Amino acid sequence: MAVPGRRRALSPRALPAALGLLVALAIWAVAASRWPPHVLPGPLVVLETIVTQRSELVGHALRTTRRVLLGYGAAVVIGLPLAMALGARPVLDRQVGALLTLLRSIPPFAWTPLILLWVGVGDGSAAAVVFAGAFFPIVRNARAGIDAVPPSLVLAARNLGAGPRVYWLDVVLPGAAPMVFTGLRLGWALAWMSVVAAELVGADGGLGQLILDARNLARPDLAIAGMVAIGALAAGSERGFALVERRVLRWRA
Amino acid sequence: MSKAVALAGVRHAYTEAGTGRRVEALAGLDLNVAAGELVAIVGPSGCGKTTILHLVAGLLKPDAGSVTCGGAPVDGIGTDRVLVFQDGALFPWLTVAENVSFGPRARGEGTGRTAELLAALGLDGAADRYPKELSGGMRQRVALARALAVDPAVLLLDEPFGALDALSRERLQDVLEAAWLRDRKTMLLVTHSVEEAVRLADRVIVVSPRPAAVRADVRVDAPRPRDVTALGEIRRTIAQMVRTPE
Ligand SMILES: Nc1ncnc2c1ncn2[C@@H]1O[C@H](COP(=O)(O)OP(=O)(O)O)[C@@H](O)[C@H]1O
Ligand SMILES: [Mg+2]
Repeated sequence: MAVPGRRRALSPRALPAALGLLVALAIWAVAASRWPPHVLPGPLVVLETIVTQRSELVGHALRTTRRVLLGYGAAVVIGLPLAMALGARPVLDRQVGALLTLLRSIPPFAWTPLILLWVGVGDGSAAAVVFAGAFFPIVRNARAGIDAVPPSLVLAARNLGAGPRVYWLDVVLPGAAPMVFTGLRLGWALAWMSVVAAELVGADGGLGQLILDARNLARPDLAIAGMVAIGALAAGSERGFALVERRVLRWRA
Repeated sequence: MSKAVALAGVRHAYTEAGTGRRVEALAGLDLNVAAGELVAIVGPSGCGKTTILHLVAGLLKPDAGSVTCGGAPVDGIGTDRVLVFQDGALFPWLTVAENVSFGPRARGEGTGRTAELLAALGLDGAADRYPKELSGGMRQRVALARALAVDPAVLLLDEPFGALDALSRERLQDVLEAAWLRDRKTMLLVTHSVEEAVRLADRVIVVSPRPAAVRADVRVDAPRPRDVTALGEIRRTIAQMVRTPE
């Protein structure tokens, strides 16, 4: 209930987190000192690469981010209404449900060769793989969220005179929101994994390509720099997700 | 006086989910409630009280007999008969004010009497809070206000204060009585507290163990606000009936 105090609670938590990070860096540095730099470069070498190659890194990161946003956006725009339609129409739910279960058991990366064949190398194919990764967790969790709305609230809404519009927008949507967010977050994480997988197989630029090229050039420092960039982007944006989620779902606190 | 709610020869049986066994909840129940009357229903737990309310609310259909409201047969859920649940069933994502105005807003009538009801039920200071931040007593005030906001002909209360501590319970009884005195809505109050029934109701209906039938129909004529200690006799009589099987 003491909402203002919550922000301050962050700093005592940040300390152990920073400590853990430091220890990991130290272990990395020690390990790197025992291997030649063309096998395992140390943190400082990687940092230097990040600084000197920053414009190249940013360029690749932008391409990757664009593909993620394209594929993920499509997954949200198609996935959420589909979940609502499935929740509203039991017959449709049974018809499509089994198909979805089958499709979502296929790892998104397994789509890559087919998609490359159909779409060709480019932003479109990478975005399509992202879509395949993000779509299923989004639909599945949103669908489950609709069922998780307590029956007494559904009853109360109808009893108080809610028509279909109010029922869906003001009762089902907020009631399902916690699980919808779970799906959105899972889908987001999978989107980043999928995009790198797609770029590793074939793409015009992007962080996945950068990592692959680094291998071909025998530049492990550049590969690690690319990995750091992906990790930072995915983790950083996930953080933003958590902030939005806490805001939208503040009634749960 | 006109009949606000009438059940005649109502039978209702549930089919148990696992076994398919029929559970007869009501076997020919008759009950009449006049417009503006506050009627309490008491009886042992599991006897069919909730079933009675759900039939009037239109959540259930009788297997036989008739359920009418204002002379018209009950056909499904309607805003003329609003249920108040024991746990309030508040929308957790809406503030107190938004919960109370839900009904009027759903029907495109703006916020309706929300401000007035918040004041009347002592919810002024809590208008912007979420249900999570409220005590049990406050939550039930909101549930009551939210039901009154749609201005139903009949209010159906299913052990609305059953989960509250003794003190909040008494306060909420006062709040309910005040709301009733102000609006004179027809109210059906299911309660397992004989004291609560005697304190609030014009009439106390004592229901037999399942299948429910009306065992006694006791009019309480004492002036309001009532002093329950002065109603010891009637309380004992009713409590005795609730306890003994026949
Ligand atoms: N959905 C159901 N399925 C099977 N039996 C039920 C169902 N709902 C209620 N019952 C049974 O019907 C009887 C009456 O229930 P109810 O009206 O809830 O009683 P009360 O509110 O008086 O405690 C109880 O024995 C209960 O177990
Ligand atoms: Mg009950």
